[in-house]
Amino acid sequence: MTQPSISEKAERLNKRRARALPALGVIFLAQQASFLSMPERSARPVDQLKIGAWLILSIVLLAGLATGGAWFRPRAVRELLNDESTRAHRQVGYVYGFWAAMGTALGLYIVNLFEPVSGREAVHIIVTVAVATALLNFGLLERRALRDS
Amino acid sequence: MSYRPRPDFDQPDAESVQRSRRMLPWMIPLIFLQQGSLIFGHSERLTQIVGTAAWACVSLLMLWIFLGLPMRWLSERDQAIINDERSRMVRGDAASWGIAALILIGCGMMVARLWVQLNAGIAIYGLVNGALIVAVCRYGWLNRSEPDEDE
Repeated sequence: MTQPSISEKAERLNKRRARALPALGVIFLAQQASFLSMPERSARPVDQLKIGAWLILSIVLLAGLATGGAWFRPRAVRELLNDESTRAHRQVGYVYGFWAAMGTALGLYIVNLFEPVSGREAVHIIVTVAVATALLNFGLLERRALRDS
Repeated sequence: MSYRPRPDFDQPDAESVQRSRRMLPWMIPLIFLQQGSLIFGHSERLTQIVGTAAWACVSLLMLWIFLGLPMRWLSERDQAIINDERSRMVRGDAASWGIAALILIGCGMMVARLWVQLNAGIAIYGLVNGALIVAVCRYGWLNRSEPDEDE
């Protein structure tokens, strides 16, 4: 059996990324339900660990979005995965993510005037909305581009 | 030299919008500093609400001008200039810096709350302003005026 060429590898990875990113975004959002039941001043190490894991996951997802993923693949494959349309979709994803974060923050600020929200919850909600919106948008745009091509 | 028709004389055009976009970023930290003193420096409810409303308006205006909704009142030609490929690229890059700043500031706040009480209002104010200032300054930097060819 012949080895797949670099472009075939890149195409396969591109399809896999387009399928995985929206799913990751939804899983990331769904996971946050477990934080709603956590008390604000919880000193249990497991709760601190949960928050640490969420922060690390947010940073990893954003780094994946920023670089296009496929970190352990050859450079040529990564460059093919990061073509012009992918870069354009990423920029759109960022803009939507930023808008969503700012909108959520302003909404939360108004809610906080009437119904107190804790600082941890506020930071958590805003960062989660920003990362999930950017990921979902990018993933959906990539899927649409693959379907149309 | 060309003149614009008189009915459109006082309307903004693509060039004036781009010029404002280049000038504004450097004033934003001052605006937020002033609004912060109005929101958090007074204990009266009315002053806080007015300050918050002003802050929300300025933040949304910044978002609109820099990361933008379409400016329908401009002509099609001006809208095309403002929304060309380079502008979209600059907007996306600025937004990516803004999101990165948002997450870094959020991480800092999550760590800081282990030692100090984190008030939601201050946390949101810090997150929004930190991210907006970074995004808008990045926008201003990428969009700075380039020297003329003969300079």
